[in-house]
Amino acid sequence: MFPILAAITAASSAATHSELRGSVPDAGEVLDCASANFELQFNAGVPLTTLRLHRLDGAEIELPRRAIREATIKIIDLPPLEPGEFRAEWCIISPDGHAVGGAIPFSVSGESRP
Amino acid sequence: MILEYLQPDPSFLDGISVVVRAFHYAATIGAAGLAFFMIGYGHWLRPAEVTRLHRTLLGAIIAGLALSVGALALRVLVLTAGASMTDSAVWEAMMRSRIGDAFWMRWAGLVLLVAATMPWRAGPAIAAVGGVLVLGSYAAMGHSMLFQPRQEIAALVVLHLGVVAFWVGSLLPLLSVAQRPDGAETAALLHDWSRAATVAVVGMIASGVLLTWYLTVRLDLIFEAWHGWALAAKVMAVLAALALALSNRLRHTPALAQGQPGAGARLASSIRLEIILVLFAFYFAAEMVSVHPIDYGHRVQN
Repeated sequence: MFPILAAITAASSAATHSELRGSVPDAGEVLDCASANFELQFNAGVPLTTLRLHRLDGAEIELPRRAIREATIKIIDLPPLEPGEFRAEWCIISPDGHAVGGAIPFSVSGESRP
Repeated sequence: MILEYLQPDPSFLDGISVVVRAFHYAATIGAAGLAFFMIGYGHWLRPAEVTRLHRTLLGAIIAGLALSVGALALRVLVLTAGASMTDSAVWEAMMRSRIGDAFWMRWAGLVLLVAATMPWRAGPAIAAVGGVLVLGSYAAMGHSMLFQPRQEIAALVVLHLGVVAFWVGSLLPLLSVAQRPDGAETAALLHDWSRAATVAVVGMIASGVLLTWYLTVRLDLIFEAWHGWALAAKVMAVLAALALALSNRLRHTPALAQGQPGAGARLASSIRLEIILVLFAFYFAAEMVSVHPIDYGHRVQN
């Protein structure tokens, strides 16, 4: 009897929520020179619906539009960045339908790569 | 809204989404419940009460449809980090996801609920299917679908919400009936309804406990995340409403049957308080699903 009850009531997760596993640059990272792109790594294939980049003084840096497709790793081309502090805001649709998002602050101390 | 502002770096959009979600719950689950009451107890109502119930049901359906679209638009704003409500690429991605599935299911269900107001022979059956679709749409997306056993959990969500709908949807018609000048027939209706409600409440509590068991893998850590505290607040509001319902059954309904003066007014006051508590329960449920138990912790944005 107990094994049947245990089997009926055994709770297990089929999949975890989508989450950001890492980014380049990482949160809080100080770059000697600005990289040419921004990379986001997720634990599952998800559609990235937005990536917005702001200077901390508030000005938004225009990023190229991309098609929204499911992928584990997203690489977004960046325009040349002047030295300063930045904040990247991202958002995805999790497989359960929730919007999941966050912000990655980073700074650039030197000039962009040519 | 409250939990959003307890987190670091709160978002106004996420906060307002919680409030919209609470109204969305009240309108859609309330509409399903009004239709269930119409199907099960409509024959007890007088023509003027039926007309009022039809108007209320249609109002709830229209509010549910409008809030469903409004919630989608708000979600696009969240998904674009506040940049746009009309980004066609994001709308397309969203409608292809679980969000779109749940939306169409809910819309179809709400439209079918209109059949409860029609003098058709098949009206109650069509409306019942509509009610199940509305409730099923809440199992078509969200945290519950990340857990196994998937079908059992989905069935529990529908059962739990079905009972909630039956209870909540009965409150406005019962409030109307409690204000009748003669109490004996009202007491008979309440007696009949209470018998079904007693069984339903047992189902609601049992399905609620099982869902908590399934969806909170680390029950020992339940109060380590805001999810657990929002759940506790919801349970407290539900228990308070249940206490009022019990008092209605044991005190006010017999008083009404005995024709005691003022019994109907006292019952109506009690039902009004019950409605307020139920609205709080919806609000706490909306707060609860905006966060997650600690074992799968992340910050959910809706």
